[in-house]
Amino acid sequence: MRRAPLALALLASAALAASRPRAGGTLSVVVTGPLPPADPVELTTASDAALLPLFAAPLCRLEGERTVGVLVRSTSWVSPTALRLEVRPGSRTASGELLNASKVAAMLTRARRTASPYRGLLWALDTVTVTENVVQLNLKASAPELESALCHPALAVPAATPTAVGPFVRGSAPHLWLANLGFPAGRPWADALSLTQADARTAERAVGQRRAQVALGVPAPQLGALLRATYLRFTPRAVEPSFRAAVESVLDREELARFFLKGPAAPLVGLVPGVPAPPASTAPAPLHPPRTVTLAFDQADEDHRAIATRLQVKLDALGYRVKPLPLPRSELLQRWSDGTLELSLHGVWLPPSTPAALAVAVELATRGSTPTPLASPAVRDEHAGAFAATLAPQLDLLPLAVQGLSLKTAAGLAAPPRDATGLPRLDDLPLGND
Amino acid sequence: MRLRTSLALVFAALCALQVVAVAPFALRSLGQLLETQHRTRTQEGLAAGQAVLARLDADLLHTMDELAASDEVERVAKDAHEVPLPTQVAQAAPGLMTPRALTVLSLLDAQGRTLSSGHLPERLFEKDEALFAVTALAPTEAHDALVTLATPEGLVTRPARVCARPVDFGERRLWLVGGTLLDDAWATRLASLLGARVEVLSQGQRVAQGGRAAPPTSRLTLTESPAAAVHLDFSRAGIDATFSEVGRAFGLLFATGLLLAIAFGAVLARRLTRPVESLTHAAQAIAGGALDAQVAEGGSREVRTLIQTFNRMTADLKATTEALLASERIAAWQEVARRLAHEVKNPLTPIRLSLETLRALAERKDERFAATFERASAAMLEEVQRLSRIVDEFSHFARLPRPRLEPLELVAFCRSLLELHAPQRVRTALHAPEGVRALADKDLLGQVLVNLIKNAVEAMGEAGGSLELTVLTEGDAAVIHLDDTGPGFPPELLPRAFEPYVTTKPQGTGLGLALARRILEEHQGSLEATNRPSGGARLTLRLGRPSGS
Repeated sequence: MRRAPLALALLASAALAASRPRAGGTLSVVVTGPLPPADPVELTTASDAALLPLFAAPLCRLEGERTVGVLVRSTSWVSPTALRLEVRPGSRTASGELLNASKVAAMLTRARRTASPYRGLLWALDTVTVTENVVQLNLKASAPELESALCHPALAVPAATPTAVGPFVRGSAPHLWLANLGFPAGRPWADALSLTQADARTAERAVGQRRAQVALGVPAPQLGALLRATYLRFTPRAVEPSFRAAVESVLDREELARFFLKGPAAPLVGLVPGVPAPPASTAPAPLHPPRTVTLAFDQADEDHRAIATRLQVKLDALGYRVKPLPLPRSELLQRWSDGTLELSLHGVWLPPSTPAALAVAVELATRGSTPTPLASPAVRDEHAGAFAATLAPQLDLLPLAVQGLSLKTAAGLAAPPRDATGLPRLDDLPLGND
Repeated sequence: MRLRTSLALVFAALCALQVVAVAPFALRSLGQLLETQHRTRTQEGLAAGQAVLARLDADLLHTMDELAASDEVERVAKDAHEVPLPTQVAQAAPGLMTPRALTVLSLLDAQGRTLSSGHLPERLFEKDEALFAVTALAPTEAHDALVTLATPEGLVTRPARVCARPVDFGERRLWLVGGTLLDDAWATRLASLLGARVEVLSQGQRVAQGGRAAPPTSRLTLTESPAAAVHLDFSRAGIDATFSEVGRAFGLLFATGLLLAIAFGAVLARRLTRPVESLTHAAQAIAGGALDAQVAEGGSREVRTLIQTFNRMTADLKATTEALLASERIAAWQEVARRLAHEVKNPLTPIRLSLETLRALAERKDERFAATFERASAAMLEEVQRLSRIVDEFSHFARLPRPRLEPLELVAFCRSLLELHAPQRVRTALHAPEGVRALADKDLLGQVLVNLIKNAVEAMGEAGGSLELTVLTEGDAAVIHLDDTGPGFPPELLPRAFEPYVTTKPQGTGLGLALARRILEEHQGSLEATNRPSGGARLTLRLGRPSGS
């Protein structure tokens, strides 16, 4: 009997060891939409948001109400307008170089200069100073949401740059990625990652037959928040002043989300999720003679193609002859930055906080101009939603819908852990148990 | 132009004439034939097109019947009445349309609202008046309708062949309107069946086309409605190519035939004309005096016969000419002998009579002998002189010297002759401008003029008369008129005045004028005799003038 506790302890230890996840294997992921872009600033879909952290590590990760460092070890507010980031020592890039504070500072500076709606995430950033292993962000105004905004995947180090660092690094085959054993947050469970593209039926069959472990974009229950927002941006000189009212009068966002978008989707009535819809507009008289306008969208985004066609049908009745203009994602972004688009559809992955999401929307609407309406901390903190409702009619932006991620895993595979927005952390998905 | 060249050209012209005469009619007939064939082909194509359309319409009606009765549509019709509209209903049309090879399909509610669309899913809940109108048309036929599509150019309407089928579930009715777009694929399919270019027009614009038809083309309309017109273009390029090919063949034939005709004509003409040329050369040789010219036999039978005849003729001509010449020589000798005998015999008779008279008187020792001797010897002497003169004239006629032509001043020459040889009883006159010269032998011309002056004086007789010489120029000739007032030439003798031995004088030999003409001919001139209307004779001499006169 004296040996019983020891035996029980040994048995418990053995049982615990048997249930512990086992590292190794190849994680096979099938995506129904476009593959994630090489540059995080081109992030538009929920799949992009789920996959980009596999190749381009962000500074941090949201877990619940707090941030967990990935490339940085810790964050701390020195003052309401100064945020200190301590870079995790020993982090190496894909090319083997050490990731130091200077490289992190350079990454943030680049993100602020690159033409991208996500530049709004850093709207409050004034200067960046580097001291040994610490990067200090000096702000123009108090912006507590900046700490969580730094975890946005769009601010990750681009995988194509020499400073890239992520859980997986590019392997020999085009679709094969290998585990980065030196990843600062710990190596991924799988030894390799196979990322392929397929239509929804093929992806579903692959998961059903256990030829793939994960399928993204297949019919499945919603996973995570609906943070992929789609906006119709217009150039005032290309349309009539009544254009906003015309679109609002004919566009049923409920129908749009229900019948024309694949996967989990909902109408986006306000400028950002959670903001109420503006007052209903009366339909203006149809234009006569009709006016021809071009509507640009991401050529790889089937949801946006469907929205464009739906808008084509709806606006035709109002006298707008809409000519669809499918563009590569990079060109769409570049022409958005140049301001040469008449009408355009944009998808952005919003940060979960309303002020940060509003900053992205304002950046998208103002195309790099200074988002002065956000300069007031009072507005940001206390009345962000109301302010967004007030701001919406002033921006050349029409919110259309939000979408989330649908994910299906192979039978017998544990559900992947998620971050604070509900996105799966596929690098933390074990393929089997010891 | 030589005969040979002419014949070759005639052959070429005959050949060209044949082609030129035949080619237009042949080409015209060929064109009519090809045109008829093309018309037949296009009409057959049109009929085939109508048959294809009818079959496609029948297939469409059958497909729509099957679709309307299918379980899938029944389930969609059942779900379509739910509120809100289930997603599977809104997305049903593409799945119903594609397996049935339809390119247009809409599910409409009783008010014409689109509940699902296969060709434009984004038209959901929009009214589709054009397709809903088809529901009021005969269900046993397919109809043309305008269908709205989304294109890179925006929303457009395109024609389609559609028909409508009701779908009832309970007391509520839906409509299925489906069909086939008259697009490029449809036009291409139809074109491949008909072998023509298919063009679809809608609202005055070309909206689809298929197939190819090399220009030029002829167009036929397969169907026409307010929504669409389908035209078939049949190529006429084959006809034009055939026509051009035949035309080129005619041209080639013409050119080849012409060249062959020229070559053949040249060869044939050479064969035909060679005997003629040989005959010509032989004739020229005969004219040159070679009476025995012969032509080598050859050519066709007729030509050989001609040559043989010619050769016989030349052989006969030579023999005949030799015989004639011999005969003429004999006749001439006979004439000369007769004339000479006659001329010699005339003086011999008085001589013989005088000698017999003198011999008789001498035998009888008649005292009149001396007186008679005197007269008789004088008479015999005169006759002997006459004989001598006759012999001189004959000798002179036979041995006329070749004239030495020199420029001769005619006026002075004629004046001296008149003064020297015209007797006192004859009045003479000379009409001549100074300086008229002629190419003449002074001695021979003087002999001619003296002879003519003496003849004129003798013709006027003892009574005398008037003798006028007129010298003038006519072109390159110097002319001398010698006019007398004698009796002139007897009309019957005038044509023969210059023949030897023709004379009106009892004592004449008839050689004077003949000798004078011969001298003038030796001068390359002429001598003519005429009677003047006012009486008397005129003798006209023509001589050449020296160059530069």
